[in-house]
Amino acid sequence: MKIKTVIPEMVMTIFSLVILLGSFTFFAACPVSDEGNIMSCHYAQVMVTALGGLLTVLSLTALLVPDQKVKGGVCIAAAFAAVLTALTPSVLIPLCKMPQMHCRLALQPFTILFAALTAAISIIAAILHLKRKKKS
Amino acid sequence: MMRSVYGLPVRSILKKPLRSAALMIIAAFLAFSAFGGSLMVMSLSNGLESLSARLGADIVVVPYSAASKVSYDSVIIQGKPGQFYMDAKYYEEIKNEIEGIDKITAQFYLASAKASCCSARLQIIGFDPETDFSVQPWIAKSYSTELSEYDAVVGSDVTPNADMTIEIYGKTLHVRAVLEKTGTELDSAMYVNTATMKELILAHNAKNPNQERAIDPEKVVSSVLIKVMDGYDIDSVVGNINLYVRQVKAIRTQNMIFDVADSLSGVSGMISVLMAAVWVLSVIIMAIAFTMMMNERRREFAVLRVLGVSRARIAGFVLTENALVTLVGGVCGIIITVLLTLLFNGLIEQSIGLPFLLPQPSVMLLTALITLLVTMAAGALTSAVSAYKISKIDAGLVLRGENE
Repeated sequence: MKIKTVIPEMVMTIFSLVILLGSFTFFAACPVSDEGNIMSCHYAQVMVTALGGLLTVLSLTALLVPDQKVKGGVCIAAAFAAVLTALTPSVLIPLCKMPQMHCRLALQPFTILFAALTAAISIIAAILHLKRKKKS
Repeated sequence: MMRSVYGLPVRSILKKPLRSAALMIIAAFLAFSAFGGSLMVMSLSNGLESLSARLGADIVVVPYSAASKVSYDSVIIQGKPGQFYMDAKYYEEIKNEIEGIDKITAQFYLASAKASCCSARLQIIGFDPETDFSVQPWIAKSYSTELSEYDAVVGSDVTPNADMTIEIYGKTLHVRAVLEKTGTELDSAMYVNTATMKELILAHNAKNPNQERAIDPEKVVSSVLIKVMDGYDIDSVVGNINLYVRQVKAIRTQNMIFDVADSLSGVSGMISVLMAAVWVLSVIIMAIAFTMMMNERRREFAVLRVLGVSRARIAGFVLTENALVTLVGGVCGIIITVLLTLLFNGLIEQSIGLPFLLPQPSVMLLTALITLLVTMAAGALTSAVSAYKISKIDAGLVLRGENE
């Protein structure tokens, strides 16, 4: 396995790990209030973390599996998962209304940025692998 | 043959993608640090300007207890949620007994528990439309009609219900306008007239029967804002208030803004030093990387010389390749900066806790262009020496391996 050929998968794995870890640390949603009130953004964060985990597994699979066709298929699945991740905060699960809340300032832009980048790289990787498959 | 030499820089970049990408990343880093740093410094200074332009008063008078208990300057200047009250008789006392006052008005502050709009506390600022000279000129840019009872004007970060109402303490307020962004916490504040404010304070009292001391809206004010008459010394008026009116503290607003400006210049200075350090390091790394790459390619250039390419053209080839690499890298760096700044400007504002207002798009575009030119100039500077050396090589010696 040439390092050069798996650079997209390596970048995908790094971005997926960033989504997974960042979603509940630096870029977490609003904290649960002292009275124990859980806002909907909390569930958005849980979903982003879960999707981040899924993306990491898919990226690692694409990185380790030798078959080009399988790699291509896994990358397509990763692209879909990344799009879902980007849509989770606000579109699929509502966030707090006020733009100054931490979920709107941190979780939403962070998820959109990294999920969009992961989706773009997954698509590029899928095209490259399916092309290589055709050639071989 | 000569014609094909013209396309050499582009072909050389495409043929060695990893080498080119490494140089582009350094150029992107240069552009990112320069553009990002400049945007930060400009946004901080914009925030400070909007802050001082908004206040409009020379002196602010707050209850003496507030001066020691709460960060009154952040409540008044930056709109952070908070509340404090003093007896309304001090307002009358200052108005009637202190000389040199041109305009005087009282304000009320109430940090709401939770409103229908927001998951956080909302700062409500009440002003007297008849005497106000601080809030109304600023509101007038978005809403020029006088506010009636239960009317409100809100900061840019407050999202009213679909029917442009907000419910606070069971009262429904009609949002008449949303103000321009200021880059401070005033963006999440709400402005109402005194009559509405009194109703809200009564509703607040009713919702909080256990509070230590119920606020009587007829007998209290939160702060008094003063505009000093021309010809009077502001410091003397401040001194007179502090001397003759008990239980209050008068502060010159300029001093309050100076405090913010001090922290701001500290942050700006730190950013500038970091920016300079990153630049010096990146330029050195770029120069070393470029020199090493050129040395590795001496044989390639020697072949070109043998094929009849002039020394000047070889130097031009080296400079063009570097210009293309820094152009692409610089553009990438600028795009990354714009993306990060637009997505995370709210988080930056909240993290640094200082007024932060991004410059106008036209100013951002101009700064981006200047950054790109400076990055390309830095790139050209680093490659100029290599270009000169390469153009002077002795092709015969290099190809025979005697001048490696």
